[in-house]
Amino acid sequence: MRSDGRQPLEAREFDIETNILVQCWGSARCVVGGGLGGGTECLAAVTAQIGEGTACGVEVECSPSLWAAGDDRAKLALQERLAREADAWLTPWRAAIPKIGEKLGWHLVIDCIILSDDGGLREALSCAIRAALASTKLPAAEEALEASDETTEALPFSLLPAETPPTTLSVDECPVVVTLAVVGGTLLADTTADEPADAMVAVAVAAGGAVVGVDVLCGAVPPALLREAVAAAPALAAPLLGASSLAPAPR
Amino acid sequence: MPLHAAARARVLAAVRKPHNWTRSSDRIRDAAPPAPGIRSPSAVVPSAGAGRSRRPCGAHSMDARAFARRTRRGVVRREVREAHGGEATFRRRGAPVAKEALRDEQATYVVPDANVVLHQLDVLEHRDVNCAQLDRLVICRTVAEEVRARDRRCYRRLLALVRDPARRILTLHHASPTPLPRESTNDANDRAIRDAAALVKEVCGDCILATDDADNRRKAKQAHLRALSTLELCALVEPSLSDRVCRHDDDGASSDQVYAPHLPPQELRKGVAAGTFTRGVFRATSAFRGSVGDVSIEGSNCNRALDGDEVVVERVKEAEALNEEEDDVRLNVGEDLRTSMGRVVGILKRRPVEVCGSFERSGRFRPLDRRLPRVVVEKRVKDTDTRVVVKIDGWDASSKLPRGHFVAELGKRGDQATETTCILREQGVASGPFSAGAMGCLPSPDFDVEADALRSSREDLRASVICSIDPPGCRDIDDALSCTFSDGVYHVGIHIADVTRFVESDSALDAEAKSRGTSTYLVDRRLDMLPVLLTADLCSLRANVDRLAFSAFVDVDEEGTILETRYARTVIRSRAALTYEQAQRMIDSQDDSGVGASVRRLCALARVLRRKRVDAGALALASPEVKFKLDREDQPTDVSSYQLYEANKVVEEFMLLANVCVASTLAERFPALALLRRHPAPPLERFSDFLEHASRKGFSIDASTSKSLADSLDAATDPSDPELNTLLRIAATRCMAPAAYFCCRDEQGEQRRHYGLAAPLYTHFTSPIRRYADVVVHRLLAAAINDKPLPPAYAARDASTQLGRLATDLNRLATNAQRASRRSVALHTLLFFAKKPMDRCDGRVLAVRDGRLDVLLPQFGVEASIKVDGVVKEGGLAWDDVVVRVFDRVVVRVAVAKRDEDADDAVVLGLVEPAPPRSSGESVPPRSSGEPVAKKRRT
Repeated sequence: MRSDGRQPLEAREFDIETNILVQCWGSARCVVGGGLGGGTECLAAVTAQIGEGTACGVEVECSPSLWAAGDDRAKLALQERLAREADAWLTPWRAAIPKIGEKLGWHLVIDCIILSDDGGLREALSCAIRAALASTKLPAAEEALEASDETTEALPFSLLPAETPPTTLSVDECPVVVTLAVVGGTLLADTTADEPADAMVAVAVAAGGAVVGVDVLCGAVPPALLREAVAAAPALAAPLLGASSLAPAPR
Repeated sequence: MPLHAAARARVLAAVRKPHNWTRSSDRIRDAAPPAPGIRSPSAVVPSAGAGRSRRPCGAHSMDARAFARRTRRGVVRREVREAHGGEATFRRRGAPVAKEALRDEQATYVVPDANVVLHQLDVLEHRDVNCAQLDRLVICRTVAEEVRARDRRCYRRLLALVRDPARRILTLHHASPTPLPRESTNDANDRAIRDAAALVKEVCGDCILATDDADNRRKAKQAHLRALSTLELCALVEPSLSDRVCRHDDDGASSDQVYAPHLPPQELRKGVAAGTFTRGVFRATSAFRGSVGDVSIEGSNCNRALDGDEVVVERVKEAEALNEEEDDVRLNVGEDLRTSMGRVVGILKRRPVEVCGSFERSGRFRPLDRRLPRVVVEKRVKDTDTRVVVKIDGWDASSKLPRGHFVAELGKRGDQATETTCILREQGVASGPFSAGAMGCLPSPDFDVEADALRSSREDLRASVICSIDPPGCRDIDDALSCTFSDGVYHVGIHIADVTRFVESDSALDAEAKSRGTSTYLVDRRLDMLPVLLTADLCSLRANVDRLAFSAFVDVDEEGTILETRYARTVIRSRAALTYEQAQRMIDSQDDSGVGASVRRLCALARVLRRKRVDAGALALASPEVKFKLDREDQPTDVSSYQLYEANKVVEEFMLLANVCVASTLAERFPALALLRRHPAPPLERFSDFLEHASRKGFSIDASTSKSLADSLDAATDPSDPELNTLLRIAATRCMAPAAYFCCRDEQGEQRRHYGLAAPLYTHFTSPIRRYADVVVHRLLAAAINDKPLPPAYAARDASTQLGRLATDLNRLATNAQRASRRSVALHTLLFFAKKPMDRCDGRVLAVRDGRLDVLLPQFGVEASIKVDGVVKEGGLAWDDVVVRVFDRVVVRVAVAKRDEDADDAVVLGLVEPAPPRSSGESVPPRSSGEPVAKKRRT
């Protein structure tokens, strides 16, 4: 029994909200926990550019209100680490970024903000990213033979009229991440910031419960427990996957 | 990720401000109200289940209020038009204006629609025409937004107009139009503007809706509004403004078509994809002749393309392209027939064209630029003796010539000031004063150099013997030299004005310098890149004052090998600002003062360096340079070629040395960012004509490498004709492409070489006062030596791309500045010969072509062509029993043909020796008029 009354492999409640930022093509907010602890809250926003080939980058920023001044280095280190991890999660998904014609394609940037942290940061972040991508509706574009200036070459594409159905992204390959803590030889799912942990393991799970990656975040995890964690992850991830993969709302 | 930084910043700003998204209407409606004691914004508490997801209602990305906007660079933004509920409000320069105040004003306001703003801005601005009524405009938000979406340049002009305190322009902030069922966005916008006009009428008592759309006018009249077209409006308020109206001729559509219609964009796209068409930029050589890449296009095949337009062309068979008479001409001249012919099938993008010129007797407008055709312009009074600016609006298939509208009057034709204004305007050289923002970035004139140097711990070189060598009267001294010698090693200091100390990256001053790109030198004035406080005072390395410098220290041994280089920011005190002539006297004398010895050491080392460079294959190039003596009214009284001393070469040698050293440092330290300068090796076939002409003169020139070219040019001397060598060099120089800036990342290996200087890497470091490229190089070098971090703009993710664009811009600006100064020289040549016509003047033939000789007058550096009835034969022009070949001596008579209505002043050469054929005229044809005739239409 844990301090908040949960079973070892019971995750906290969570909430996902999409399309919260009007200036982005897709956005989502994910809150894990909530209640008196404040929970963990992440925001992800998708901005876009058209360029040669396709690409997707992730930027993570920690809300300045949560990391007091003077602790800048810790904040920067965390931002960098999360951005690197998130970038790795998205690797298999990148093939799903739509192309435009032969040469051009979408270049997406996912800007994430961590508004509060009470454990389960990776769950919240990965869900926010996945939901933001699922909610993304890019304007329809086509490759065009368009006049280009001699001096500053404009890219040859044109945006189609607003009536054209928008381009959506498939998020099947985009995983959510669940973290499990090792405490005294047992596994605890989705620990809060107050719960102690000897080691932490993150498991990335894509649609259909496929485990696509395992990452030991800190400490050392015995192989048996690692296997156990991988086995438990799909069940933990299922509700997150379901909630963050909603098809875009019908027009 | 190359996402444009500004786009990201916008999003991050939106994300950082919590109210921005909590306020957003896309937020779900049924969000639980925050429970007491729970921290906001994490106020959403799931009510049931382990987790759930909600989708907000109405949050489609492409709903009526959100739309996509792209930038040139490919950023696709989602923009949301805020629904503007509530009452419409008037503002004047941002401040709200009460409706009561407008009612009391009792004035008639004009409400223009978006098309009027887009096409008739010259009328609305009505520069230098007094028209109080058009000072009262109401610009609706709908109009402003549409203009913004369609033409940024026009939008900027509109903003400037609205902010002009001399006018009484109102902006109307009203509800965004929502299209009714089965109503197009355009119609909804028109309706919104009519509603706005009705509101203005209600508030002010009277109002005129200006629209060129007849249907809109009809609807407005039904609503009892006064609606006028721009022309009618001008007739009402100020008839002289009707000259400036841009006219759309729709009525000509039914008459005979002169030109084939342009193909629709889809067909063009298909054609280009399939390879049947080629796209490119149309480069005209005369009004109805030009080329796209290697496809040449003539007559009606140009199909309304103007110089600089981006077009799609179709290759055509020889026979189809030429009619018989043209065929004859071509065979006569023996012109190169290998290039293929083509015709324009579509125009992708028109270059915005504002041209200077004058009206002919026939009433047509004749641009100064001979590559443009005459223009049909509606104007009531057409004074043939005034220079005017005309904007070309379009070219209908039914019209032989393009149409345009009058923009401005510049002054009397042939007048020196007017013609100079024309040159600046056509070359786009900024001649106005610096903006207030830029001037605000300047330090105070009594800036304390010493204190500043101490604060930033600069190296103090004020005790060193440093001097500068420049042309007489030079005020912007950007380089100074020092040299000591010990143990067989020369320690050279090349000290360059530290401009970046005063020009911060991304400041208003920096932006202005960037947009100017370079200082422009005209015969009678100089247009600076930076304000005069910097160019002539604080940055200028004048004698006997402390100045901040960026120094390159190079240790060179007696063989000219570079042993070590080092850079530092320094403070110097130049001992003497020498002229080339003074420096030359020091070189020639035995004066052992500090400066004299230093100059002689520099000279000795320069000889070594030069030999070394020449051994490596550097070319000594030449182009005719002219120097005018001006009297008090800036009228030229004398003209001479530029005199060169050895001292010129000394300075040049050390500038090259510094530039080469800096280039390799930058390329090593910033392989993706360095701004370098390359000079492409010319393809051998470009030399073929030159080689043939030289061989006829008995010289065998080998142009296979720069080294062989340099050596064979050195060997090509004729003791009886010392001028000939310079002539050969001028001709060789013309076979080469100009050098250009580039971003190090964009070119690799051999492509980076500077052919003329035989340097693997080269850049510009030594003239930051007058070239922006050097300013960039200074910033990069400061970062390379860890003196100052890279400015944020250079550290951004897409910095290399930005730098590549900057390089292109700087190349364009440099070319424009160079053209402007050449045209200024031509103008003064004309003024000079108008006063002093010459009966006999030595000339040299530079080229022979279709019945013409291109002659250079070496004494004056002037070039012009003579029309001679002759046949091209054996590499020369032949008539009677004479053959004149390239590089031959001729004697000419020089005069100026006086302008009349249909022609401008022009320098005219007449052949004296050898005697021209009897039938031959002597004048240069003013322009070739190759206008197509309607009957020769092709489809």
